[in-house]
Amino acid sequence: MQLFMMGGVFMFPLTLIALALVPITIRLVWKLTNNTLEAGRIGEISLQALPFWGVVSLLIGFLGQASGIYKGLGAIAEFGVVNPEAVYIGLRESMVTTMYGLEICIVAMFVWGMLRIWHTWRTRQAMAATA
Amino acid sequence: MNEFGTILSRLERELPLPQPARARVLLEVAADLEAFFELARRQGRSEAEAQRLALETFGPSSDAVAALVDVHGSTAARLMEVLAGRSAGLLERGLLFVVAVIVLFAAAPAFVDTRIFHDAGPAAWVVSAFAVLAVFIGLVKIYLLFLKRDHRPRQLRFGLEAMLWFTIAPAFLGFAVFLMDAFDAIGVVAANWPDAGGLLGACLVRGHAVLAIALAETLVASIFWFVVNGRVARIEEQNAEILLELKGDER
Repeated sequence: MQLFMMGGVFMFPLTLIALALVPITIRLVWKLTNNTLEAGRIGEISLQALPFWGVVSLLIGFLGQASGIYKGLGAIAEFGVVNPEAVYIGLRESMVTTMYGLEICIVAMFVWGMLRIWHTWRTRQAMAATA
Repeated sequence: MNEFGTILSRLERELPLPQPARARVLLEVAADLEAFFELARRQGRSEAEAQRLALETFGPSSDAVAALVDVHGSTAARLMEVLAGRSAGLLERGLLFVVAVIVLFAAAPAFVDTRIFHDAGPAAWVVSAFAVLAVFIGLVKIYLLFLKRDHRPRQLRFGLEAMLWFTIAPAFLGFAVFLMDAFDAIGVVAANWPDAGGLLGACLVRGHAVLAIALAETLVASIFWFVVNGRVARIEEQNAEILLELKGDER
């Protein structure tokens, strides 16, 4: 919770995406478990939801970082004096959104990769059974 | 149109492309066959002759199909498929709307102030020009798809590839400017160590301002991209369903 508060307003969309990825993944698994080839094709297309949201999380994470550091450095440039504690707090805050965005992206990409491997294996099995 | 159904079924089985690219090629070939057939009929040819001519020109062994496979199998096309080649469900559309509102709300104060553009310098205008182009194409496509309802298969994806590149370009340019500024900052700080604090701040402000502008604009352009692509994918899905139903009836 403390980490969440450090990240500022950009943590809200990132958390929403992280939470929404759970039902999106469950829906994908449900679609992919349908055994017919036609349903499998639909699942193959729907799988692309995971990298899409991964990339969006990454962008929001980097935006949070750039925006946070811009504000922090702006203050340093304005006063010309560095307060180590202020710099530390600013950098820590900006890094939280990047880390959070990266974590969501990595998890989304990992789940995407696993589901793709599983889906390809199942499709081959179904095609072999049909042949 | 029995012959066309047989050819399209064969083409669907043999195309060396993953879905949904395969469905798109199928739709484009069907549209070409139909257009050529209509043209030949208008020129006074018999139905059988018009069919034969259309199949000779756009049959599955023709160069046109090979060109379509090349287009749909290109790096850009594959990137488009991965990022937004599908029609998103209600949950995803709702999520995107909420995320967009929060991000715009968070980023708006910096942009309203306009100081960020002053700090970013000329690079911000180059970055913004790409984002504006992406949004412009997005608005034209929204007008064509939602208001004018121009759903011709060959026109559906026209301009989307350019829109994707104009959407991604600001992010890459932003990172490039940011890295160049970071490199300059290291040199300046190393040469003026006693005044490092103030100089570091001044040097890195520009890079971070450009990066923040670039990423915010990329996100805005991405929303347009998502809306347009979702619409195109839904239209294509509906067209493919109609086509497959017709084929089923013919069998």
